[in-house]
Amino acid sequence: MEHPIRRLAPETATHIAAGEVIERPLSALKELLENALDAGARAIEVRVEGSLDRGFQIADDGVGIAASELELALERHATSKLRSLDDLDRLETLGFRGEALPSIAAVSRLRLTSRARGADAASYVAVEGGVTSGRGDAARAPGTTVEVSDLFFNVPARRKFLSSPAGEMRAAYRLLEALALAFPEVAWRMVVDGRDRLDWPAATSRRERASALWGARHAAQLLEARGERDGLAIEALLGLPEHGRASRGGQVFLVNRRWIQSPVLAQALRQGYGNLLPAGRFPAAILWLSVPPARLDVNVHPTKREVRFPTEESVFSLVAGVCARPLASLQPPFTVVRGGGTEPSWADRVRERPANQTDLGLESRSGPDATAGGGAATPAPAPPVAGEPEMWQLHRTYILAPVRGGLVIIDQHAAHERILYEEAFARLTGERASSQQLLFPAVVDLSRDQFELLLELGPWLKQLGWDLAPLGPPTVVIQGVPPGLRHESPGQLLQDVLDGVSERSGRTAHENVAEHLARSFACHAATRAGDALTLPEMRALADRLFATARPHGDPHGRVTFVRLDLDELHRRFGR
Amino acid sequence: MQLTIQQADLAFAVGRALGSVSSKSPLPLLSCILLEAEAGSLRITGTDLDVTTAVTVPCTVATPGRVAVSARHFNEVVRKMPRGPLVLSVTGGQCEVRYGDGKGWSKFPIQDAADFPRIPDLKADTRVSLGGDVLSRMVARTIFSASSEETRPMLNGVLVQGGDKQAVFVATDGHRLSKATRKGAFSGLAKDGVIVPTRAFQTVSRIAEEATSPVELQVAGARNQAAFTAQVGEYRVQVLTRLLEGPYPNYEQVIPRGNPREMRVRRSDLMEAVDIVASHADNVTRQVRFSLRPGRIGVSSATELGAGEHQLDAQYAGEAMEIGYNAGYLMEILRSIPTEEVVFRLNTSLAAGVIEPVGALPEAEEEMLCLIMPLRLPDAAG
Ligand SMILES: Nc1ncnc2c1ncn2[C@@H]1O[C@H](COP(=O)(O)OP(=O)(O)O)[C@@H](O)[C@H]1O
Ligand SMILES: [Mg+2]
Repeated sequence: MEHPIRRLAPETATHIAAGEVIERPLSALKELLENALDAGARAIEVRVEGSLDRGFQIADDGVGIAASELELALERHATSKLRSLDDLDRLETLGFRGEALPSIAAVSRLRLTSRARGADAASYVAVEGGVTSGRGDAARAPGTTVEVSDLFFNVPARRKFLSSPAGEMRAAYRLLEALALAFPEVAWRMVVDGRDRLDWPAATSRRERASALWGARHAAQLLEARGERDGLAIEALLGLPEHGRASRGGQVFLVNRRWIQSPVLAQALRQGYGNLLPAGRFPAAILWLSVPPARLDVNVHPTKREVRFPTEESVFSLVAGVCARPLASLQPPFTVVRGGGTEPSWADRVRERPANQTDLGLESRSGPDATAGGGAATPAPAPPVAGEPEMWQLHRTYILAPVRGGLVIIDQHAAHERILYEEAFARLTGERASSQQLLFPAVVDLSRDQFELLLELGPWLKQLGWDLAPLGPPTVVIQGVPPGLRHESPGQLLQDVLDGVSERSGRTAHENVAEHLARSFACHAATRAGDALTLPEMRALADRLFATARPHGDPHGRVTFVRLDLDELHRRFGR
Repeated sequence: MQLTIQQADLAFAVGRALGSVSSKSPLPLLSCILLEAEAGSLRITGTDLDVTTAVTVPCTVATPGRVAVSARHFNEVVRKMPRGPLVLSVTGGQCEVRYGDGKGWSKFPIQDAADFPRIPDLKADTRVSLGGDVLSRMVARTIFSASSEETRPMLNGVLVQGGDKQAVFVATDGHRLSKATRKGAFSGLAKDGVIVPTRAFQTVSRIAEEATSPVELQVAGARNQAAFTAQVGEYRVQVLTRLLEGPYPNYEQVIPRGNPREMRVRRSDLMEAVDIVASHADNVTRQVRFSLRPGRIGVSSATELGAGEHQLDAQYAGEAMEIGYNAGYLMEILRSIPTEEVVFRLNTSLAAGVIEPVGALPEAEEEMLCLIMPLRLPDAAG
């Protein structure tokens, strides 16, 4: 036999498991933070040097690890949290597999220093790529410090697929935000390259924590919702409909204090907002759900970001119902998005049946209706300027433009996206755009990761015509906007653009920032289907589209226009 | 329902009411007008639920009644009928209009008037009256600066403030602002004022122009509604509107008081220059560049469409300065000012500039001021 079955050497098995548990630097951070929380820490401090994969450390004031157990903690399937399978049903801790520490140790240089509560000294163990490289006494207050550096130094293949360090840092801010919301009683601090980046003192309530995260002004606008049914309890802080975002980036779901992803919760939340949000916008909200541990399956995915609920329907209806309540009592200006649908006119009831027009055999000369006479109440549509083409908007989505030999049907959104994309790209790589200064600068509260991205993209945003002044994080003042924008509140647009960039650049490193930004800007600043356009606007759109380098498709590759030939029409009508 | 009415009276009422009928309403009844006949008068109402116009005209009523007919069609036909008395009656589910002493008739299908949206009576708590000409001028001097962006609804209208010293109209879209004042006692209206939607003011200002009486503004603060009422000869016209909810931004705070650089220029010269040069401007940003030099300014623009520059004399003694503007905003502002000369009061090339008439306005009790935010030019510092 060419490939006999063999049992893997323990190091190899650990290595493979490490790949699942620790897929990226962020997972290492997450696992270690969870350990600190499981140890009952009341204060957690994260220090990052350069980037997560270069090195970070986490210090907590939890129960600590006895000197005699330090090495055991680094062994696979060694845990103090689970004794038997039944314990899973009573699980109160975030960790339970005993895999995190050994997995991280297998792919990095790690140093674990701890002093158990009641012990009078601390000790440490150092490991490199899974192999113990030292141990001894150390000095520290009760609690644990884990230092991790050179992540994946011995897994070059993995290094290649890592996100950009900045993208990973943004994800880290999101993680800390989520955990801070899950554990408001814990004080959090994060220091990056010696600078204090986050500092959230222990809070006495969820709202107080939210206000530390996003500023008191923003937190005060969040709506509260709570409810309980069949042992499930939910509490939520809901963003106003007008603060809806272009992605789900503003949603944090915490189930039994675990930060999870959940399509069910996302849909339930969306349902709660009903028609207060137009299609394509997502509410910003934090949900805290508590479920009896015995009825929640947390062992679904190696990264523990997914859970299985006892019955999805009951979770769905509880969440949707509870969230809908405070939203229902909102007053305008949150105008309800009405469904379309025109009723047939009453004329059918009374109209005389159309008869065939008898024909004198003369060529009919159709002229414009005589609209002269006093009392014309609505201004007649302006006649097209001589020589300029007439154009029509169809269902507020398409532009019909006659061209020689036929008709062009333009998708207004796709076309505008193409135009804005090329313009933005030219701006980002060439001369800076002018910027329309604002009479009332807009103050916008961003989320932490949006704010970090904004700092990163600062110079590019300026090239595009944004004039931004960061206030204290995470607030920014918009003093000027790219000129010629329609329909958008600058703050909303800025957030959408940032979300678009982070969605695209989240996972893969070293991609062209200008490209991402141009795409995101074009996508969010473009006229939407449903926007009414005036004739000059339609003309400008058509002119600009055909002046672009690639008028045929938008940046996502969808077509921007189709052409209908007169010959084709003639053929269809049998001419 | 049956009545006799002069064609001119009916045509006027229908035409004005039609002004508030939405052209693409999903509800058939909203594309109708409501006719209500009672003791000596006919009231015709058109509404799109936001703005309602009701016109009351004299007539001889034989049988009172209410009926709804298709606004556009009814208007089109009535308008063409010969002058003189018309007999309007409702029989057999149709509305019939006879004209020319039996010469002709038209019949219109009717809608159940009971389904027509109920226009609530306005329970006004304050009222103030303004001359029709004053009102239409104040609107014309401000309304163009109002926003049409849906995201900040309070800017989709004109702020109207009263007080015992003056009335103030203000509109802004965040890029420019215009303010018109008239001295006098307008204490019927609160100092913090109300925000009248742009669309309502478009209708009102047309009626204000032809009004033969002052226009009375009544506000029902609690219900956020207002009504403008005026007499046009024998006709009584009322425009009811929903008011926009504030708060309106604190505009006083953004009007700069001590801008150090002053530039005076003939308005028509500047409009000519901007108009010509802006033909080359980007059709979206409409960007033109002002180059201020002692004694003159240059207006220029350059895009792939072409380039142009226009020099004109101006009174300017400050240091040389480059500043960018949206030509569209600028033209609207310049058009709204009636004086021969205008003055720009500027600070830096990024800060708000004030544009004002030079000398008194034709009406001594009135004043106006506009603000414009510049475009930061690509070569500007910062
Ligand atoms: N910060 C910490 N404070 C105290 N004990 C810790 C800490 N981190 C890890 N431990 C101990 O090490 C054990 C193994 O950790 P880990 O590999 O993450 O597995 P798990 O968290 O699933 O138990 C934990 O069960 C715990 O007893
Ligand atoms: Mg763990």
